[in-house]
Amino acid sequence: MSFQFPSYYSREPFFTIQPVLNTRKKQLEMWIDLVLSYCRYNKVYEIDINEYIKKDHKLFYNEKINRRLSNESTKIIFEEMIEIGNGEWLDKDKNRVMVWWRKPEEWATLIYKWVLDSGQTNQVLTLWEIQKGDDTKNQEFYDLDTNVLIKSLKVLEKQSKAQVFQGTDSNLGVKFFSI
Amino acid sequence: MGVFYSFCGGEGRKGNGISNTDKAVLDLKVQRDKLKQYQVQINIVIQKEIEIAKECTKTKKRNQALLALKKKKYQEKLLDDTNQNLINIQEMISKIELAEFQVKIFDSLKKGNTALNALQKEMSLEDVENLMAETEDAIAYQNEISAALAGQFSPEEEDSLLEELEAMEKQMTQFPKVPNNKLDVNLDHIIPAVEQPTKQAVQIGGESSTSTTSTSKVEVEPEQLVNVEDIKPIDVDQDDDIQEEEQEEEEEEEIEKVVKEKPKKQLEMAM
Repeated sequence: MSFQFPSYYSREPFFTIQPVLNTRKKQLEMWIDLVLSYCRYNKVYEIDINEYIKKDHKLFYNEKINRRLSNESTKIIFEEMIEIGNGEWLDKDKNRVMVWWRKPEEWATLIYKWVLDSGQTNQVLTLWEIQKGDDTKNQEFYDLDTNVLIKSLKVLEKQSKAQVFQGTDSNLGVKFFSI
Repeated sequence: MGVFYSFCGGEGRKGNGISNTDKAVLDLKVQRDKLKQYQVQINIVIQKEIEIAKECTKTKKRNQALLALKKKKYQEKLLDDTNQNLINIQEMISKIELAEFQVKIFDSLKKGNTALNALQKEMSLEDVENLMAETEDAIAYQNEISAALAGQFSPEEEDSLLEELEAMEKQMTQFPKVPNNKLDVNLDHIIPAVEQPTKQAVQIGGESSTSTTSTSKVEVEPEQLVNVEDIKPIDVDQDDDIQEEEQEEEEEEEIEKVVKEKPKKQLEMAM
């Protein structure tokens, strides 16, 4: 089953950024909601705006009503999304954006809970183990994007619940602490 | 064990809570991850070779099919080897983790031991022995005092004292029972006598205002009037049961006289 687009995705005005401030605010909210749900459903963590628009990706292009979001409009939406803390630009030209359909703080909580539940405090884990390990297959953070994972672990580091460190050949590992 | 110990304890910690042991474990785990990834790769290759072999048997290319199967066999051997390696690495990781644990346990035991020693230093064996001897003396002295005090009575006297005490206790526990059966006194004759006066007083009042009455009323009056006049003697009689019989008899006689006389007078008046 593929992602079910909401009904407002089939309205023409939705694809043009509205001039009236209130309407525009509402519209941006709806777009952010759509982007986040789409990314959550398909486990997308990173969007290359140029790439998506060039390839007429269905997220920004509705074939049925033949409406597409312009590059500028897309950037306005993502600026707003980053403003409310659901993403981050990956480059200076603002082409690639990290989409946090779950904020790093939320991932951090989930990961730390899993560590506690599986009795792995005071143990060293590789990042790969967290992303792809047999033990995490049923976890929501399975296949988590490396950048997002590192961000989440940094959150835990600030709470002194974890320490990220390098092995001899620059491989990253993390040690979790019990509090 | 010695090797691991120099790992954990000796070199001190780098960074925040990350020891060299942790780094060693990380390196091992990274190797393990790589082996696992390698296994995934091998499995894909094996699948491919199987498909090739199937294809070749379909198209009757026996040699190529055989070659693919050989390749598959080789990959399977590799897989076995990696499995063995994985087990070795896992074993090593477990050993390190266990050794780290043991070092920590050893540390805690050491700390516990020093604490215990420090506490024990505060009391020397000699002091304890002295203290115990003194206590024993004190207990013996106390016993002597008790014996001296208890010696004032002979055993027989003490027995009699005890008996007295027991008797007292028995008395204390044997209270007379509170009666809960009905009283035998018959109150029936009291109640009407008490109630009547009020009714009669009303009737009397009514009579004085209306001087002329019907004959039927006159018939009822004798009894009532008698009772009204004699309320007081009857009440006294009933309240004080203890009154002497003679007095009662005298009064009764008087009452009877009055009862016999009055109605006649009243009747005459009414007529």
